[in-house]
Amino acid sequence: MAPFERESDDELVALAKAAGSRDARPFEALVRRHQGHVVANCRVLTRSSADADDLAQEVFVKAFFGLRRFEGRAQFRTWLQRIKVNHCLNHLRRTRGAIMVDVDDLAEAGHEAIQTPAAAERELEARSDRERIVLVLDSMPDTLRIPLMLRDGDGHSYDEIAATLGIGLSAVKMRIKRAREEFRARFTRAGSPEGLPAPVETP
Amino acid sequence: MTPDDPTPGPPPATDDADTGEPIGELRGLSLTVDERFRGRVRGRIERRLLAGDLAGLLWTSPVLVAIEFLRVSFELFGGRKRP
Repeated sequence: MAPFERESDDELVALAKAAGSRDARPFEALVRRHQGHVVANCRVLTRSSADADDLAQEVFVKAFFGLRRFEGRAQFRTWLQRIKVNHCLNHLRRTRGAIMVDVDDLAEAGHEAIQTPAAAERELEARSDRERIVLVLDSMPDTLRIPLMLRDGDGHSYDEIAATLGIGLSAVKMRIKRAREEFRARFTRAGSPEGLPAPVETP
Repeated sequence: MTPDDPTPGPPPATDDADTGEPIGELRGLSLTVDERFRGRVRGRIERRLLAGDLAGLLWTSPVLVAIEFLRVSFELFGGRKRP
């Protein structure tokens, strides 16, 4: 059994705070526990396997140095998710300039989805459900994928998502509703013999 | 979803009526991570700690030298005159 397997997150945070840089094991236990989810979310948010690993490492480094300021008012997992989301969105802003287009531009977002590499779509059939989920999310535009992941992947509230993305509450609700419909439709079709169909046009 | 991530995901959305399968899968979405991942995180943390130590040293060394210089100067020229 790996060390610190039985301790809760709160206990590990307390141990990591007390140890500081003298003993990295408690913090490493936290990394071991959350790494899969953080890497998956970075992967989905950025649509890049190469960036995801790197970003996830930076998220944990930030968490390590920010641990002293963590007061335990939220769960460690929630706090880590905030660091991760901010870090990934900043990365997207740096690399792409802007990540969220206006609600009126959703039609354009649909066009973006059409440009998804066909090869990636054909691979879907042979993949496991988990990989299928990632590839289906890859085929969705930022405008739908990011709010969907923040809501259903991380459990953020609508208000938090609106504040994080800098858009209105009603826009967030609309995007999430549309994203769920889109995700469900694509996921179902991705599992059919025809594979992932052409993306649904967003009006 | 994988042994890498034993903690359950956040609680399900309470104000959403249409979060069934496969949407629920997103909550526990987790990918298998390279064994070297933690080592890389540790390496980054150690490098940053070292950089912090060096920066601290670069900042404190001139200050310590200046304080020592002032102390010696004071002793030589500003101290009590000996009888």
